[in-house]
Amino acid sequence: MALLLFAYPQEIYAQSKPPLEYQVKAAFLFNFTRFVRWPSLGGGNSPFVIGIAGNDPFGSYIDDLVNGERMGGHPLIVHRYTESDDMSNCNILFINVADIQKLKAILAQVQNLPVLTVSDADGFIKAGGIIRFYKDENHVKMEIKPAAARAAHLEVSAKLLQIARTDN
Amino acid sequence: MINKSSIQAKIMSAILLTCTIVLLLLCSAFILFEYLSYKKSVKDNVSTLARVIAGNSSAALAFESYSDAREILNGLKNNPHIESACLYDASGHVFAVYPDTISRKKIPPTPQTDGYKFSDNALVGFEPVRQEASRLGTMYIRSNLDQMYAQLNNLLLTSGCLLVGLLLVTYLLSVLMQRPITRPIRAFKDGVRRISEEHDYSVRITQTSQDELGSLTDAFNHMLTQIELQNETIGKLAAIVESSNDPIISITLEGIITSWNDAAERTFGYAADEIIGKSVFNIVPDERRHEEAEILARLQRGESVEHLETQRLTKNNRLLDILLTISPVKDQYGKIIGASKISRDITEKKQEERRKNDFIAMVSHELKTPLTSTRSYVQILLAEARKRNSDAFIINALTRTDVQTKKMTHMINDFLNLARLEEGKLQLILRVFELQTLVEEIVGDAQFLTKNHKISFLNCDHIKVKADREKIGQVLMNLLTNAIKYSPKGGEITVACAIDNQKAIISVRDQGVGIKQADQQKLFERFYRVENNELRTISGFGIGLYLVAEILRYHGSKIQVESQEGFGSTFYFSLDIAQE
Repeated sequence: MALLLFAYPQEIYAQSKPPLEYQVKAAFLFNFTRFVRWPSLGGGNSPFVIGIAGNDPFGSYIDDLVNGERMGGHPLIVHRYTESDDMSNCNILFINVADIQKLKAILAQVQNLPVLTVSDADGFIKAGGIIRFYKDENHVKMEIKPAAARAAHLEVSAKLLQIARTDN
Repeated sequence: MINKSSIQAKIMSAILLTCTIVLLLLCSAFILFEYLSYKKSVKDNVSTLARVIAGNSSAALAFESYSDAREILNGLKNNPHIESACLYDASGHVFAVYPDTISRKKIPPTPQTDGYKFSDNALVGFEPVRQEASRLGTMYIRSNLDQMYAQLNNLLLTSGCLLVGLLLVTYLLSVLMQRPITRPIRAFKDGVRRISEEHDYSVRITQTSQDELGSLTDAFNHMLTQIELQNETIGKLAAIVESSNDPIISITLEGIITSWNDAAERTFGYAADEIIGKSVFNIVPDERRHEEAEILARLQRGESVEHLETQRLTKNNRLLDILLTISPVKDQYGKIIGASKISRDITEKKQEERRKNDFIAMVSHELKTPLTSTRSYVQILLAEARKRNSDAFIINALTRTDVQTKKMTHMINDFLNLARLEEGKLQLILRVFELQTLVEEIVGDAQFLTKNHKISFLNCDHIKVKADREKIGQVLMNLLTNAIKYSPKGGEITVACAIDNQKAIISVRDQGVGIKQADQQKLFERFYRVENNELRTISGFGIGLYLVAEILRYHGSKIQVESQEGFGSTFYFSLDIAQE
């Protein structure tokens, strides 16, 4: 938390902030860009898209967080999807959907695409998701399924795997 | 200390010192080099380690995994020299520390500039934590330098042992190496010592090497030969000085006696060892002290003194008449450092001379008495003969007798005066008299002695002088008889008076044979007679002009002569004019 406060004081100072838990998660989403390698990100200035499917828990906080940041040559943007949207062009997809069927439908839509799927949902890994956030003694932790990442042609840094719980 | 020690010790010290310095420099350079490379290696090791740990901890920092961060940092346990380490997050706050138990106070509260530096016996470094291009935080690491110091200690110990070992080897080698140098030097030294102790200059030193020392030995042997030769010469000279019958002594410029030969011992009564080092005034009578002081002054100016008649005092307070020859003695640079004095004891000779003078005086006196009465009777006879108008022959014979007795009286007076002069007993009776009458009288007497010459006088009237009338008469008579003698062909003889600068100048001019330039100087010496075949026949004792000179000297005047051979001579002198 302190990390965010001090790293971006101007941007967030006067804003309405999400709960601490989601501030941390927003930062984690941003940090994934450094520990995961995507096979190809398209040409030119095509944006690197962090997508949010379902309820947006971050508000403008995440927009400010990625504002001006780049992934390689690609500017980072946040895109919010409705269930009916085509989500295949996003690179990281945070899925915040309570209904497991809907979640599975969204996962099916990006199946085998280089999209890093992330969610808080309990059965997310089982449903075919790649990274799940969970809480342990008030700390946000991660569970990663490397097989799912491989299926999506994503290369996850061993360092990330080292600090996360893995499910093979 | 070095200067007192032997050459052997000096050479060995030089070798040892050189080697020690070289080895020390070498060791120092080596140790310094090693120290720097140890430092670099510690820095490399620690920075590599830090880079690995920092790389591994990026995910833990990015995803705030404290336990992972701690675990990664605990990997430092493998290196026991890492004292502490920590991770700061991107905002510079301490995130995780190593070891767990370390107090936060020992960790810098905020990260400093990236890089490594040695401080406080430790290597301290700050390493950036990055993932891809992004900076996620900073790692701090601190390593002690125990390992480096341990290595350095080892190195020092090894170097020390090596140094001691090498110096020991150097010492042994120097003992061996100095021998060929010092052995001939010591042989040389022993030879020289033998010579100086035994004073045997016939010893020669054996030449053992062909180097500089060999040349030195050669030169030394050559010098010994020279010394031998010189000793021989000195011995001869010393023998000459010692065997001389005349006392020969040497003195310093301060008048301190430095040598004293056998004759000096015999003459002055002092043994050499009791007088050497003492003042020469010990043998100078008080009344001659000023003379000795003057001699010393003259010596200092580099002048020598020849044939000085003086007196010396023996140890028994007996006065000796001596004839002294003094020459300056110079050192090798030509500086005058003293004088040699050769004295000749002339006491005997002096006494003999005195006896001779006494004899002459006595004889003259004894002759004078009968002559005076003879002359009186001749004059009485002559007066009687003239009164009785005796025949011309008698008058002529008596006149001649009178002149000859007068001449004889003059001669005897000369001898008497000579004897008095020699004894220093000549006394002047000064009084004021008219020059004219004296000149008239003497010229009259002189004219009686010759018929070939015309003796005249001029300008002598009205001049009064203060002098010894009788002796000035003798001077004039001598000058006139001289003029007559040396103008055998006759001619005019003129006595002239003149006044010049408050003095009466009296001159006697003849037209005789004249005097050679060389003879003019010696003319006034006692018994001097001009060597000239033409003048062989002229009689005389050679005392006339000597008396003239001496009498005038007593008057504070001087006889002078101007002459040209064949054209006659002019003698002249001056007398004080009497103050009215």
